[in-house]
Amino acid sequence: MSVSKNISSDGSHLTISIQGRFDFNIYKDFRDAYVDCLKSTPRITINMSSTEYLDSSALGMLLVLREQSGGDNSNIEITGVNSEIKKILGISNFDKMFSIK
Amino acid sequence: MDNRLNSDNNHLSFLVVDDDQTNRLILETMLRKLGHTVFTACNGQEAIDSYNDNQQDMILMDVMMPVMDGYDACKTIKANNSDLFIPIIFITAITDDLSLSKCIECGGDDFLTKPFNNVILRAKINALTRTSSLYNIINQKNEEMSLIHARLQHEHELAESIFSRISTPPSRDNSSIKYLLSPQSISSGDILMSLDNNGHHYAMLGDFTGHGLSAAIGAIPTTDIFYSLARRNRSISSIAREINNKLFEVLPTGLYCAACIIDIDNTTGVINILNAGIPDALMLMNDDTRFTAFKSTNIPLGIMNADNIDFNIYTVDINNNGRLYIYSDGVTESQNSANKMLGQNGLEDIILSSRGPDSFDNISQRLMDFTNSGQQDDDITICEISLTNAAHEGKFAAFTSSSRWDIDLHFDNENIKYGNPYNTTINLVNKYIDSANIQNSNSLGTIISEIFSNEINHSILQIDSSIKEQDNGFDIYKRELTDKLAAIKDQYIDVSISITQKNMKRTLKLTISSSSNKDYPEIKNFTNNNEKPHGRGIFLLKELCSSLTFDNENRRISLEYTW
Repeated sequence: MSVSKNISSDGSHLTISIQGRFDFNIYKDFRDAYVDCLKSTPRITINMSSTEYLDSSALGMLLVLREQSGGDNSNIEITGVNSEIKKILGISNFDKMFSIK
Repeated sequence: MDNRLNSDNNHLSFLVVDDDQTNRLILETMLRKLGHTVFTACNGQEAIDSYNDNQQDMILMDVMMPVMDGYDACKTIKANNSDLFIPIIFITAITDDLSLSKCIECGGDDFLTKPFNNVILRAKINALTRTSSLYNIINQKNEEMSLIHARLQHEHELAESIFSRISTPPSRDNSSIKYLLSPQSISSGDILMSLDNNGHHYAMLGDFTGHGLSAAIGAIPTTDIFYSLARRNRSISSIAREINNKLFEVLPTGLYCAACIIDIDNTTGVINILNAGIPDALMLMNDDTRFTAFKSTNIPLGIMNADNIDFNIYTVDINNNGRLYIYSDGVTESQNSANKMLGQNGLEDIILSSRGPDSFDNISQRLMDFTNSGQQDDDITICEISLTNAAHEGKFAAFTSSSRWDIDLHFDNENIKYGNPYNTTINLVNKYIDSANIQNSNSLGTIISEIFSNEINHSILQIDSSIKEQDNGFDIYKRELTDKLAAIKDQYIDVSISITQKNMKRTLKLTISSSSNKDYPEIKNFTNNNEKPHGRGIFLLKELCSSLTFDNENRRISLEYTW
């Protein structure tokens, strides 16, 4: 499974981990990971420490998640990014819309 | 220890030895009044017997007695119980210096002349009681210490057995690698590993800080990772990276592994050397009289916490037959009997003057001769790897050169429909990169993915990605993608890729064209329209690549990417 999720014990923090390639092929798994708990989990972390690369459709998917979880009021953190992924997120100015660690 | 002279000094057991009944009675009465238990004996022999039966805490001994005098009794009792401290006070009417000093010489602890003063006797008893407790405490601690020592020894032996089992040196049958391992203590901190796999010969020398258990802890994952990645023909920088990450995780600060990892790649005729904290690896080609030295250019493994360390790797063509030496700093820092260090020059002299088929035996012998005369402070490990010009015989014979690689791919209609052109392409590129030991991190995955989704989704399938803006846009997009893909006819994609390597820089040149003769508008739309969930692909490509060009009316895209 290239997408896995984990919800904190108090239910307020959702962590989605993406292994391998983050592109359109995992769109359904990615959406399924958050679609049912957007209302109850104000805090979301996307863990990319095992992500090999992401492409532009992954960027689009991240934007959809951001919009559905409150747009400018969303609280989404992207963690574990390697230098290449950081570069790609930076090229698209995603560092201004997400908290990237 | 038992209850001898325990803290309750008020209740000791005494042995009073005197042939005169009155004297015995006086002492007995006095001691009983103080609350002590008293045994009596009339001569030396009786004293010995009584002590054997009752093991009193202290003995008050007369000197002149029938059967056996006090001196002999004292000697015997002390000799029979050499592991105990039995305080003996002589109480005697003799006052000459010689006889009194004999009381101490025969093993007595103190003496008192008759007639004695009660206060003085009590003071002496107290003083000896203190000495006796001290003795008992030390005895007890000694026993604890020897238990701890035995346990440590046992654990050390366990560590040694673990270490020696996992650091089993390469088989000596492997003629291309020869080595000398001379551990400093019973367990070494040096490990040497080697593996032949698919035209690659991997070798690694690791020198852990510390010996014994601390080295064994790090050696376990190190050997596991080395062999498992070498078996999968992974590059030495990925081996180094994995080991570094694992050691950083398991080892406490201050413990780390200096290492040299080598990959002799007979498929391309090059040797890759990664040196992280080991003395210069030395290469000697044919009849050269000078070494090529490969200095350490990396931080030892287990110190840095970073997923994307770029390791510096030397890549050298094997043009001739030659020898490569790797060794731990114990070799150059070894000392002879005059406390003179061998040094780098000393080692190089030994190697240079050792030639011929038995060169390594000669080197080993001379190193051992040097150190045997002195004290060995560190593990001594040196290994010789024979290099032979066996290029182009390996399994990946198609990749005949390390400096350039070309491939043309043609995906037909069925390939696009049922296969995954992107996967095929990225796997081929990664396979080449791995076999050529190119390990710098790169954006090839993103670039190749982007270029294929543009070609398939937009040029061939003509899907408008602004669909993604709708509610559930991604679902609609996905459905349309699936439907249109299932219906394609007579489509194809052609891709040409070439990767060149020059001065540690690699350049990918890629050209893609397809059966589609449609000019798709998004191609020219380079902007990063901030909040829209689509339309970022070409923009991303333009930013990542050093050049991106469209020709033949946008039907052919060419890009160049350098990393």
